[in-house]
Amino acid sequence: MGFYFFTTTALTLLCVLCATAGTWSARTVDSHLGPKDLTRLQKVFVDGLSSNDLQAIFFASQNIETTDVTTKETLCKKILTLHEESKLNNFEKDYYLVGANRNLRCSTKLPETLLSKIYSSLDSQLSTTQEIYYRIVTHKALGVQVSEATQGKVAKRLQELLKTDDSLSGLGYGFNVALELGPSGSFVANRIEDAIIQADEVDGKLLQFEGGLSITALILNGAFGVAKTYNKPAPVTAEQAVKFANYLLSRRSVQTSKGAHVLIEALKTISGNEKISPICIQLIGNGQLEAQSPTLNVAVVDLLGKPLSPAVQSINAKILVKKDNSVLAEKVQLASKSSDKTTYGADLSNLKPARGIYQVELNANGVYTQKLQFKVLGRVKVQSLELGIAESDASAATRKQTVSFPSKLKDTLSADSTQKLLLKAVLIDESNNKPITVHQAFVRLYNKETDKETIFVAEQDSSKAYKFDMDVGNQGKNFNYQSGVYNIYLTVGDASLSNSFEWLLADVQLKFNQADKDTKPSTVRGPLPEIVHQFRVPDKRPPRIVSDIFTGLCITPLVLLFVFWGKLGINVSNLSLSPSTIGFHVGFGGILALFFVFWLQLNMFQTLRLLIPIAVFTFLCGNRVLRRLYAQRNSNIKHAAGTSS
Amino acid sequence: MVEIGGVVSKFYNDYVQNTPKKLKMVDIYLGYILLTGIIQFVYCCLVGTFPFNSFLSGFISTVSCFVLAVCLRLQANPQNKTVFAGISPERGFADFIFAHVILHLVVMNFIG
Repeated sequence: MGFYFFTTTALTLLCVLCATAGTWSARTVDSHLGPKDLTRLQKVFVDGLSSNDLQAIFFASQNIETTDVTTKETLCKKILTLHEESKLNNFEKDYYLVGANRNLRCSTKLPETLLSKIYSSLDSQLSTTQEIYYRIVTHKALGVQVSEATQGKVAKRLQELLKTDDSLSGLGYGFNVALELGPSGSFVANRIEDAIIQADEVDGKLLQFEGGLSITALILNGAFGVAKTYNKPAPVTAEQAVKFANYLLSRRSVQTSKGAHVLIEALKTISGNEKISPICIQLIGNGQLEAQSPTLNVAVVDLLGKPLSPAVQSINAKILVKKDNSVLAEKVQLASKSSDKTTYGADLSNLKPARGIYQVELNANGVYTQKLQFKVLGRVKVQSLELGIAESDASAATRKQTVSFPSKLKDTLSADSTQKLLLKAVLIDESNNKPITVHQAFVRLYNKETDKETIFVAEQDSSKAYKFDMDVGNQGKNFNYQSGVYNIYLTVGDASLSNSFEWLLADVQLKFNQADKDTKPSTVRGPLPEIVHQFRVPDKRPPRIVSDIFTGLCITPLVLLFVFWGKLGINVSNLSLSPSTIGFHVGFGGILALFFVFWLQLNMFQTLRLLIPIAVFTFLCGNRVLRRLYAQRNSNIKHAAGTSS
Repeated sequence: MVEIGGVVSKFYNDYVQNTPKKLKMVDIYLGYILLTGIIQFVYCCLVGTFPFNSFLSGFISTVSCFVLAVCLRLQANPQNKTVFAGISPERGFADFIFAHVILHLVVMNFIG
């Protein structure tokens, strides 16, 4: 329930808003076909006349007169050949030829065969409304009156065709045919609504018929014509007329002769119907009024830029301040200027408009309303300006000098890197002497010798005075450490000021300290330093003494081994001094010695090469020794067995 | 406690009396190897394993020597004659020597 209520309220509100928005530009358009547009369209026609297109020549000749006899002669010959070559429908190109021939007032006769074909055309069964239209207008162009009987026949045929054909072009041509048929064509008046209803709206601002400019113009011309001929009310409402006019004006850049012709025709048609035709109310000039003499001037013209007739009786204006929508004045009368019928003006100086943007709601005759925006420009004045040089560390008092606008300080100031440059300016509005804020306030330092400039922004302080201070020591980088004489300019600018200015205040000798030496470019080209492979850093080894102690400890068991063996009593008596015994021990010792050397310096292959002969030798010796020991043991056992038994 | 002392002394006396001299020699050798291995391990625990390959080769050397010596002792033991019927103590000794040659070739290669 609550939601429903809310929705309804919102919808109502929306409708009200739409309605108000609508009323504020009732029956007015933002622009009209101005002199510039007309000149351009004129040029389109001139180009069309010299082209090799029959249609273009026809529409151009419709709109401009050709006075030169020789050009006329050539054109008259040219249209005949173009007619032969033209790939248009017969009825269409016949019309262009006949029409152009008449417009140019050619002395050459049209071929008899062509004429007889045209005359007989209306007796045959015509297949489309388009064909009927072209045949009828061709007759008209030839100045031949179509007999009433034929008119009736054509009207009947047209009625038949329109029963089945309600396409836009069908209806459009139908309307235009009916115009030529007199009373027998009155039936089409009932079909106007069918056509208008098919118009497409674009963005709620434009109305057009599908098919573009030609179709839109065709239907508008036909419908308005029919309504007028048969005394019917205007085919479109005033609101629709505004939208159609907006569409037509948006197509003002049309490039073809036909387009230009139908555009002008359609605009004329809409303008011609006083009851619904929109007008154009525009500001004259750029919409910027001087504060001293604020005169609001508007132009009131029709769609083609012509003065209205009858002229607008009265224009009221309601002026609002754009910023807060407060009303400055109501019912301001704009009076017609005697010199120009289109210009209306009002002097606003007694309202004393302050600097700013305003909106004006104009109401002409209580019918036409338009909302426009204008700007009142103010004037800025420099109340005071102080320039000074101060020590950066505030060790000494600042010496300030006052400069008055627009003169320049006589002495040249000088500041070195331990000092700073100070500037303070109070800007006021000339009308009320109050400090103002401007869009742009810059301090520009310009070096004439190097043609280099540096721009700083002046900031507004709490008392609304513009302040600028520059520490010469710190800012050296911005000047490339280029010492020398600089011109100080103060630039003040604002869109709502009529006297924005740039003022040369003074010259200053700036001395910067030297640029840091180490900031030289480090773009040395050449090979990068070689990257040397880094081996893994070995872990920390234990102190030498620890290693040594453990080495000793490892040897002690060996000593113990010999001690215990000694205690046990090693029997070396069995060791015979035979060569094989010696060979075995020497060989085995050799192998161990070889391993020791292998540890210290040899690689595996060298070691194996040396190992093989030694090993073979040791094996043979060992074999013999052990064989002998075995034999010895066996004999001992036997011997022992013998003794025991 | 007395019993344990008795068992130990009896065991010792039995060992001294009944074990052949050759086997005692091997046993002393085994003790020596064991002691060396223990010292290496203690070093590793106290100081660190760096350089690890040296430690490994040393420790593997002691372990392998111990194993080979045990094998030799088993083969040389007269009580095991029935088990190692075809293998005389001399043959066992020759194998022991041969295995040592191969072992130490590897150890030397690995010691770095």
